[in-house]
Amino acid sequence: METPLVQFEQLMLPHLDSAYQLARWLVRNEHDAQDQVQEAYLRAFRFFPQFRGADGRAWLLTIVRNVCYSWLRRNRPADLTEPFDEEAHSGVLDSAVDEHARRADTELLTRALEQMPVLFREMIVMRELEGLSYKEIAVVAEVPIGTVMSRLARARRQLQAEVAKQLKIFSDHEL
Amino acid sequence: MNCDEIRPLLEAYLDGELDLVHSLAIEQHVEACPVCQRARKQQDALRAVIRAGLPRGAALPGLTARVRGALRREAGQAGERKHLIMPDWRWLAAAAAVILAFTVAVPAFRPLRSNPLVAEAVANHVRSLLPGHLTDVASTDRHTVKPWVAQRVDYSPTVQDFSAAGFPLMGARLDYLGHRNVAALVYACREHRINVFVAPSPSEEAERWSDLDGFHVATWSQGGMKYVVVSDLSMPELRGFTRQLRGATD
Repeated sequence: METPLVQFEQLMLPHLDSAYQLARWLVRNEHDAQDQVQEAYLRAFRFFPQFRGADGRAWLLTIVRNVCYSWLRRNRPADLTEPFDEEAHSGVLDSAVDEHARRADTELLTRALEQMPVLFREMIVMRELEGLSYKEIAVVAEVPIGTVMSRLARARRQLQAEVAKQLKIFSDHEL
Repeated sequence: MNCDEIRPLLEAYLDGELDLVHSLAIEQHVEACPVCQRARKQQDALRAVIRAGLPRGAALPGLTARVRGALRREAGQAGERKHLIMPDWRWLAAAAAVILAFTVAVPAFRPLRSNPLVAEAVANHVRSLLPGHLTDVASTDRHTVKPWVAQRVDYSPTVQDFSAAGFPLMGARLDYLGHRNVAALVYACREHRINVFVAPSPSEEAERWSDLDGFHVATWSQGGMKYVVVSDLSMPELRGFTRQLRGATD
């Protein structure tokens, strides 16, 4: 008979990379991300008796997300109230930008994603980096699937716009 | 389906989240509609950029060991010991390599895994890192910290600020170690935290180093006090810190 700890580790430790990835993008700092991942695992272990065995990764990521949001509320409340200024970015989807965006490098994209409001940033992380389904994202973010779809669409537009903006900053500096 | 119906579903289609009927309808429409075709190409390009530009990084190498250590302390049962000495062989190999490296490089190092004081100190250190647990009195002023400590334990440890050396004093906390209340002085080094547990001790002891769950622990006694220093700081940096501390308490 395996102990609860062994069971928990077998089910949850394989998702450590996912947990770290989400935390890293939510708190935007490696050191704090590690602290939050550890805290989330401890919390998950305490709640483990309530886990019904459906989707371990989504269950764990829900806790990681909650822990990170608590941390943001305490340490960087401004991160949670960033305005989402879509107007300012309208009209940037022309083909020239598109061509640039195709060549955007990792540094540029990382910066663009980091500057995105957290509610939209997490959509990109869960969908594009972690490959979660809409349903799983809905579980983790605790919103309906319709909201996942609209947030993800806005997040992609925003990311494209951010990349365009960053490219512009770059070329302005180069001039 | 027309363009207005297609557009909101296009992303879901590309994400593979649409049912077969809708997927086929979208494919048919996009095939015939240049405007939607352009939208689709843009979406494809954006996705390709994101996937190529944001590689999914793995967690940092020490994190698994650290999380396991924290879980083990949380579980804190004798029944878990079996698991504790039979970890994943990769970790065992990594731990062996680390121990070997330190044994060669640092003759004073002794693996003190069995030392309950070390395990307890590391557990206290980890707990102190949880939000809101680090300090009971948060102050960089030793003239504030020292009297606070003296009021709460029956001894008065030396309290110094080592900001000049890169280890600012952050405050102090009342903690419990070795079956008694002890003062824990908290220092920082960049984003890292250092806990210094201080309690009276009649004997003098040489400095001993050990390593537990990714934390370094130094213990020694001097001037009637026992010191237990815990941090995840790198070994050379933490040695720099203990030198400062020993210099100040001599």
